[in-house]
Amino acid sequence: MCRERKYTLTLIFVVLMILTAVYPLFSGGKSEDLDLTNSAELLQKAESFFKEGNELLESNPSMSNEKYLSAAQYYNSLIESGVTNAKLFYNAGNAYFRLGDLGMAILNYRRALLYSPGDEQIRFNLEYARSQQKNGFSESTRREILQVLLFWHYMLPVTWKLALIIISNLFFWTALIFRRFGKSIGYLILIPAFIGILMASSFAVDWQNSKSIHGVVTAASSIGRMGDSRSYQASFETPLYQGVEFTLEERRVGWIFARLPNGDSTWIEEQDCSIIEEY
Amino acid sequence: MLNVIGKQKTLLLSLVLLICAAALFAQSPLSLTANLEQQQIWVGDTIQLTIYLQGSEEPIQPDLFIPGIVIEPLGGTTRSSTSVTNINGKVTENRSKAYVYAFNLTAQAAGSYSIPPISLTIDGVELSTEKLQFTVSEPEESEDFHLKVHFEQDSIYMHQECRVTITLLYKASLRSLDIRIPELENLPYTVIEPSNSTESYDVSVNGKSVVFVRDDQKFNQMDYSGVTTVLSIRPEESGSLSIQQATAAFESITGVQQVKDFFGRVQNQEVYGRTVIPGNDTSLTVLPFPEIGKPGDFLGLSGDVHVVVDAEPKVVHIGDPITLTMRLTGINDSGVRIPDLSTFLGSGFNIPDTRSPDKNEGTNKTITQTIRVTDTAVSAIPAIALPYFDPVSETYKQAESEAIPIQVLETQIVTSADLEGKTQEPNGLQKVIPIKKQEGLYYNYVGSELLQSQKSIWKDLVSSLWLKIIIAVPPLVFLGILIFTGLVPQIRLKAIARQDRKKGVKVLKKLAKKKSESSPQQTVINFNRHLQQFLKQYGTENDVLLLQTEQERINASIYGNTLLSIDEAIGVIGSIVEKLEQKEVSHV
Repeated sequence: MCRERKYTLTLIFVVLMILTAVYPLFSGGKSEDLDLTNSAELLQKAESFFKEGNELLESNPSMSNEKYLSAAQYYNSLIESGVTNAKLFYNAGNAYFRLGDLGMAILNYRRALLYSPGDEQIRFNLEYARSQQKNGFSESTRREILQVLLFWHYMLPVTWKLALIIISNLFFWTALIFRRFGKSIGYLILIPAFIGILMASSFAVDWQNSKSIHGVVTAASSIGRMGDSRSYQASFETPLYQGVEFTLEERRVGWIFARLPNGDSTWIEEQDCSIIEEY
Repeated sequence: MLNVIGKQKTLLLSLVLLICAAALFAQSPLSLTANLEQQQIWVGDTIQLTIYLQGSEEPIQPDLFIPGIVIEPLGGTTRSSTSVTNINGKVTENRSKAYVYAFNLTAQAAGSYSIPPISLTIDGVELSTEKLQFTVSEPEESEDFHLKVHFEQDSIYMHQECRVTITLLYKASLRSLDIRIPELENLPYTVIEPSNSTESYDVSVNGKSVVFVRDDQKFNQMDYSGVTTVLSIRPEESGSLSIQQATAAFESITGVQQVKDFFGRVQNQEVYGRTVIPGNDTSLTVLPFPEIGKPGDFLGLSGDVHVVVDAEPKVVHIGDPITLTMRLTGINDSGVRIPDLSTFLGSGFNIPDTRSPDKNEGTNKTITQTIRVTDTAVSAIPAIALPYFDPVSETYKQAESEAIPIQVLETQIVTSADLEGKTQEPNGLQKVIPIKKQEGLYYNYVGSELLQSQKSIWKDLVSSLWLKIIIAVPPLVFLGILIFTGLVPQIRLKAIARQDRKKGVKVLKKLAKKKSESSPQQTVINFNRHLQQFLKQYGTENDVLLLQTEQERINASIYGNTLLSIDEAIGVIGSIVEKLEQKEVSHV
């Protein structure tokens, strides 16, 4: 009886630890309530313009574009007023996409993922916008192989990885505690240890990547050059069209040294691109 | 004394009132100001006028009229800000309210213009801006720079493609080139990508970045360097597209000035000045579709039009859906609305009023429609004929698809076996399982939750103390358990062993003392007593187990025949002490 009670208490303890550990990951970012009635009006206008744009898309494309532009401007004014919300960035991205501005669309989707990396809808629309990008940078073969081999690293969002780290950490140490009291689970203890190591290493890589600065070409087209001046030769035969994503390697006055998704690097004029940063 | 307290209260009250009054007056006062981007512009240039209302967030919409200037209201927005200062723990919040309204002003003729004071009443207060002035100059011709705009054709039909070549010729180096052609501003265009270009530049044309290529040319029998781009336009309305206000603005070298560097050396530095030159006048005639020979069912299609129709499946029961795909290629205006397909298919088909959105890609248009056959007599989807205008031959023609043979079976009778999914589809018909498409956008989010600010995952969660605690707690708990179940009992056992050894030594000393002062018999009695006391008092359960063999031997000696000599007894006790010492060492 006494032993059963002990086990029940231990089980409750483990479950509570898991729940408390996982809760903050899925409860979403903590928010601060904005007492902006004005913001609510702006949001309402943005939503209304977007809806009107959808309704006019077939019958009057030019008017529809005007509506989408107004929606994008209202979403932008909300963002500039200090509201940082993944869904808001996502909506702005959709408005820009409908306008045909792939650069601003991808920029806003990427910003949205900073705040809600696990949102499937944002990921889907980002991938779709990328598929429409004119340059169509394809992943290198090496990277494609890595994506298959290390699927958990490329597919799982950060929040999932963190949750798995916490749960496997908890199970591993709990198993060790049981083992101390003579209740060994044998080699099964290796499962949480293995998952924990995989997730922790993947998470560490993500963390390192998060420190890198990324950007998107937002001008209609931009000429990638071999140096930080217009006097240098163009790096490629075709310009870089809006929506090209890059990692910022170096910054000089008015110019950015960018590494492109296929591994090539080039200098881009700063005015032609925007940096994906937290607001 | 009471009088002094009363004076202090009065002083305190006055101080509080003074602070309140100061706080009231400290609020930012209402003011209305107008700012103009530039005071000197050229014909065709656009400048921004900003009306700034400080001290209120009330939306304003000022009226403005300036003769000769095209005014475009850009709308208004709040520009409020809140700053929080923390000085020695005292937090002060400062909020500044403001509303900004902007206009774009485009000058159409040279001259001096003034913006009259703009008056508004805000919260009962009459506010007014100051009068502003600006000058508009005509662009001036230059020998060193020429802007050329050229249409590929003199006349085209509506929606027909026409290429426009824009070239800037220059002799001196220039920068910040900005070309404005107001007549093309509202006309959609695509840039024809240059082939085999070695050097290209981004140039602003009507505010949008366009790729120009380097292209040396002769003009008026003189050599010029040049940059050129080719745009493709498709005017949607007939009439004359006349270009008369094209300008190119740029900065070019106007002189050299001498400046001293950090070490005092004199160096020549180029001085740039802004120049605006006019472009040539040119025009394009956009012809309407001719009325002579226009078919009655003409939909507005033009170009070199071809139509291909496909249907799937081709063997169906009455009422089964058929997906009909009609693809039009070579059309000049992919935005042309193609009416309901019942117009083309005739009787025997059930066609819904709605269809999925048409897909327009360049000069191609794809129409997808689900139709149902209502009669077994139908043996084919008839050919679809679409009249169109061919601008090359300037005649009306007809694009026609081929008829598609289909097999229509009687309505299928649904049995219970069908409902259970056991039926076999006749004639190779396959069930249509909806497959999720991997294209298109997902819907927008709505609701007030969009206004809830979030922090990024890295800032909010990963760097939080909470997470570190969650990660650290399980190993710390294990460590604690390890300490309490392992280390503490060992320390306790070590202490007991040390204590036992000391007692053993004490007994040995006592026995040695008794040996010297008592008779052998008495010594044996004393020894027995001491040994019994030793084992009773200091022998723990563990010790008893450890020394079981020794005890049995001692007991046998003492209680069996009591013939154990003193020296033997001392030897036995000594061995016990020795074992206790070993036990102590092993615990360490």
